[in-house]
Amino acid sequence: MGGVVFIIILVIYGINALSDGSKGVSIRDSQRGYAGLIWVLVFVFNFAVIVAYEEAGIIAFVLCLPFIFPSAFSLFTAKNGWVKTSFYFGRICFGNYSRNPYSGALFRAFQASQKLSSSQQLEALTWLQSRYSCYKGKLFSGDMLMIVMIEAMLKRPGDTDFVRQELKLLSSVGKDSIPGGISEFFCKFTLAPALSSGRWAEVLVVANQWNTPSSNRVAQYVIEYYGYHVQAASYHYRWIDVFMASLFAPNQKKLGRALQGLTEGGGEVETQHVIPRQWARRINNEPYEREVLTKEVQYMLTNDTKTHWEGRVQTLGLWQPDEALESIVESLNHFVNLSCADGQAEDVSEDQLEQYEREYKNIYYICRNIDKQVEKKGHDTSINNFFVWLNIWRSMQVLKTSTGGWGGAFSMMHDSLWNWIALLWNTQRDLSVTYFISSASAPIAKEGGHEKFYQSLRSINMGEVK
Amino acid sequence: MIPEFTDNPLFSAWPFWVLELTPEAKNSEIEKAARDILAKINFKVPGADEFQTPIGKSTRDDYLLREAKSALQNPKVRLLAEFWFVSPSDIQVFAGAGQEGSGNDNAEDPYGVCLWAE
Repeated sequence: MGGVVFIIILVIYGINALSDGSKGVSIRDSQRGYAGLIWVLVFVFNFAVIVAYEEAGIIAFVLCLPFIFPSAFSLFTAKNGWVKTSFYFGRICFGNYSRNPYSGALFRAFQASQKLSSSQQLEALTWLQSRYSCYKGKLFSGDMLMIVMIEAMLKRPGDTDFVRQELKLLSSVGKDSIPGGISEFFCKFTLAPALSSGRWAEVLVVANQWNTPSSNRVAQYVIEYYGYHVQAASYHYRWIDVFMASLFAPNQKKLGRALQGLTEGGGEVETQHVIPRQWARRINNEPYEREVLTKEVQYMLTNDTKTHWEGRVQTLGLWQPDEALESIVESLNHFVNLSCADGQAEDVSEDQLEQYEREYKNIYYICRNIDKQVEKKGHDTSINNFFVWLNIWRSMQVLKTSTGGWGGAFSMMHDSLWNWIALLWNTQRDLSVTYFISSASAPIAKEGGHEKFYQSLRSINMGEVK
Repeated sequence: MIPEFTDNPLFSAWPFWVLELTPEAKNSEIEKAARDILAKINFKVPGADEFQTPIGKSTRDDYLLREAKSALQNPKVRLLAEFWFVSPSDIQVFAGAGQEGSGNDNAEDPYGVCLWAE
């Protein structure tokens, strides 16, 4: 009787999970619903087998355990370096990688490959590459991250800086469908150099970037830690939040030590280090990147520092405090503009010009192929679409450094891109790749004055287009 | 006046460097510092006509001293100078550290943060 009630409860849970998922617009949630239902059905099936066949049923149940708890088994196999087994177990981890089970497969297999020697690792990654190259399903953000990581590791084995550089290309992928485990993995991977260089601003930027809707315990711990220990913006029980975040963060002891070192080691209150870093950059002739610089400069005028300068304005006896504070903001903006203009004013060498031309032509030929695909209403696989866009986006990143090349290339591909996005969104329903394309293109469209196109891209990004 | 001091906000703290003061300096200290340095320049004390900036040594004369003094006595200019202030000696340490750091291309995981996600 108890067993029957238990089964009924599980079935109700499964149906509820499914209906909850189908109500919302988030694919992540709906996939979680399906995952819940599948899990319940497998569990019920196993329970029924036990009841029906007793001893034989128990043996069948034990044999089915990996399918009921694939996550635990995939973790075990990954820790032992069994690449293929991890791949297949990861593939059925619907609970952990609900929307994105394929990324789970790639992730677990990748983790397993890290346990192998370098030659075996290369072999394992090549095998993984062959697997995803012929993948026919739709790609999601987690898949994209893993694919770019594996491609980069194959291109330059062991060069983690190159991998991080490649990952920057994916800064505009949708965060919704990145599974928690993968998000944590990439958060730690990108946090390592920021922690080593002892820069709170960069650590915070990285943590916020990876603070995805599927909970990223590493990012949450870093953010809570900063709020409590550095910013000291605390309400009475804030320490509980920090404690809880630390409790669930993986490798929390090591991470905690690193953050403590960052706070205590160099008196690392970020605002004190932004200006010296600009000087160091100037003295060492390091290039200025507008985005990085703007983010860094923002840390110079946080709410806390603003309060400090307001007090200082009063002490100095300025008649118009608002105007005085405005002059600080102006000087910051002037500094950003001046520094970035300095970088752009450099002479362009012949080699660079040739490279710009190559990238421009590359985009041109890709666009011609896209036009053909659109004309035939061709149905390419999601992975091919992703690689095509990645190719364009990589060329665009090179052209970004040239004066006018960025906007010029965008104007050239504007029509092809628009038609392609429409095809991918309306016909192929390749939503994640389209989201990635539109969120990356939107700022360029706005900058280039393509207002109508920008509005279309924006509506895709905001989830207004179904 | 050195043109870059007025062009780039990064150099806004120049009056403090010229007078070898910090943002905590009071008005009386500004007067005293300007007077002392001017006297040293007049008496041709070795090194008195030089001051340290983040990009190296620069020269100062009575005109620059007067400019620096009046800048620090203007609250608005002083606010910006305080906001952008850095000690030249700190900068040289910081820049040196940056150069050493840049040589270490594969600064992987010094805090033992492993790449393992579980």
